[in-house]
Amino acid sequence: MTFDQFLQYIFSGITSGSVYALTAIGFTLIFSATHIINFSQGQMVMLGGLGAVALHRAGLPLWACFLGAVAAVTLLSTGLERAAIRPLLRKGVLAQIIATVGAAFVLETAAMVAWGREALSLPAFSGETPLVVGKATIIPQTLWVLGLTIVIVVVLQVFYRRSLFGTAIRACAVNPTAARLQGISYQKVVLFSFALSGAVSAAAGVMITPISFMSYSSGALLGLKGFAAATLGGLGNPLGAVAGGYILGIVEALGIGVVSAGYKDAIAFVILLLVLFLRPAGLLGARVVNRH
Amino acid sequence: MLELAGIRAGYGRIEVLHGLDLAVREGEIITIIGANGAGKSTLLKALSGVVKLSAGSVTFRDERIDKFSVEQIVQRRLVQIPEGRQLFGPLTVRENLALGAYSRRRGAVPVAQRLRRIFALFPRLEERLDQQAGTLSGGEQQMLAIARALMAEPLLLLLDEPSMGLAPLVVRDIFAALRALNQEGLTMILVEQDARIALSLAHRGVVMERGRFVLEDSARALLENPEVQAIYFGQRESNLARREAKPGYGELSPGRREADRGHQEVSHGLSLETTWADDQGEGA
Repeated sequence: MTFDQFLQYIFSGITSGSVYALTAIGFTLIFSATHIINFSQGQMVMLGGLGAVALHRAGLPLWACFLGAVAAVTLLSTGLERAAIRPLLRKGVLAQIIATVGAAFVLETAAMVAWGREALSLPAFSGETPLVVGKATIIPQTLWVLGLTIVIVVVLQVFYRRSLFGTAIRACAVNPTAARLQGISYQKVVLFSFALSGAVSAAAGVMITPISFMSYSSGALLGLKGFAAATLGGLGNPLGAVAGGYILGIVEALGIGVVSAGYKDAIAFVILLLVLFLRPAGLLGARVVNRH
Repeated sequence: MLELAGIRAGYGRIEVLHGLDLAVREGEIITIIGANGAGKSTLLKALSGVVKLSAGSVTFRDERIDKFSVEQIVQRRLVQIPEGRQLFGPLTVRENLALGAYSRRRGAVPVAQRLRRIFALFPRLEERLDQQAGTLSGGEQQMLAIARALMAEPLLLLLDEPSMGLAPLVVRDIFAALRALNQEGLTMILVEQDARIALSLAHRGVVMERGRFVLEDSARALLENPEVQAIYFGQRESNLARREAKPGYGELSPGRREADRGHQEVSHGLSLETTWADDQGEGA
């Protein structure tokens, strides 16, 4: 592999890594508030992409498609919490996780009915003319994906670290009962976490659709890779999710170069298995400091 | 200020509180003493809404609160410091305090001023503002737990075992702070396994056995009550002394065996004598 090829694979890895990172953040946001693994996360990404396609067909400008799709999936995700998660609060986390698996099938089937089976695309946000870096090329959409991902991650960090409600959400993740004793509404935190998770996932879906197309069935694989990335980074740790997403994206891209494109999807699962065997808490697994 | 009438509560089908009546007056400290498993913590959880009542009523400042959610009860300024402190360990001291004020972001006193009052009471917290709460010493954690509750501007403070796992000197500091807060007018319900130190702080005491109140009197009278001394002041002897067979062990209340086990778990043992002696020295 020449250096230029290497660079090319890295660019491609960063693009898909951004999407995995955002999907992983989606998992993390819900997991840290509720300990639920939302198996319909990938379908939220898919619906973000297809939702934007639908709005674009309706003649809306791209930025409006982006915002509209994000808003719609945010609403859908809060609806999922209300309809499928909250009623199962007393049944325990396992029942809630199974409900998300059910939701994944429902959403996928609904998407197939609404959009059909073929893969759909969106125009790139700002043209298709590739930029040349050395002998490698980079399409402008990659920069959009990377830039928007950075913006989302920074905004989330500021929100969770600096705002009182963000701090309250982190407190809920540590100790829900103690959080309630401070007057924090746990239900509100859970609902908000689903909303935010839906928004982030949908944004990932809209951004990637111009590059890699989107069909009703794309969600499952995106969800599994986002889950692998989240596990790699240590579930519950948003910065870990970002790191996990980029590591996965880049390793996968280099794997295509070194091994074969046929093994692309297998790489994510090999990584997932290795993490689970060797370091179940993930690379940046949430370390809880507590002295008794 | 607070009235309990015939409250019953428990977990699932197991009833733990079998009909409790109690009236708490404004400005007083009332302590509930009893063995491990007597239902003391469950009672506080029921008052805070964490455990729902199956019968009876709780009236706080002329308002029925027993159907309220945990959050609504905190907003009424009935604030609990739960057993084991339950701080947000990975969060900083500053963040823990900020969350304490969550239910009263716009209270009678601005948040910044509340913080200043707390630092006057616990200067060590100010030094540790940006440290993770989980890395504080046990005593500092208890101070932070109290401080966090004070941020909610409580009218009635529920304390569940504030002395748990702390060194005697630290317990003395904590109880001195509680006394100072009470002198400023804060009403408290104090649940303690360490009956002696609890009664030395409180105005009134209630003895709880197996989910029922069996005795209610002034703290002074309970301190001098031979039966209470015999059953609940077991920790005055060292663990070693208690391990030796004592005649008449089984003649006392059935609660005693549990009481002793509880004290061993807390394992204050011999050292508590110092605390008590010191407290008496202060004229407590």
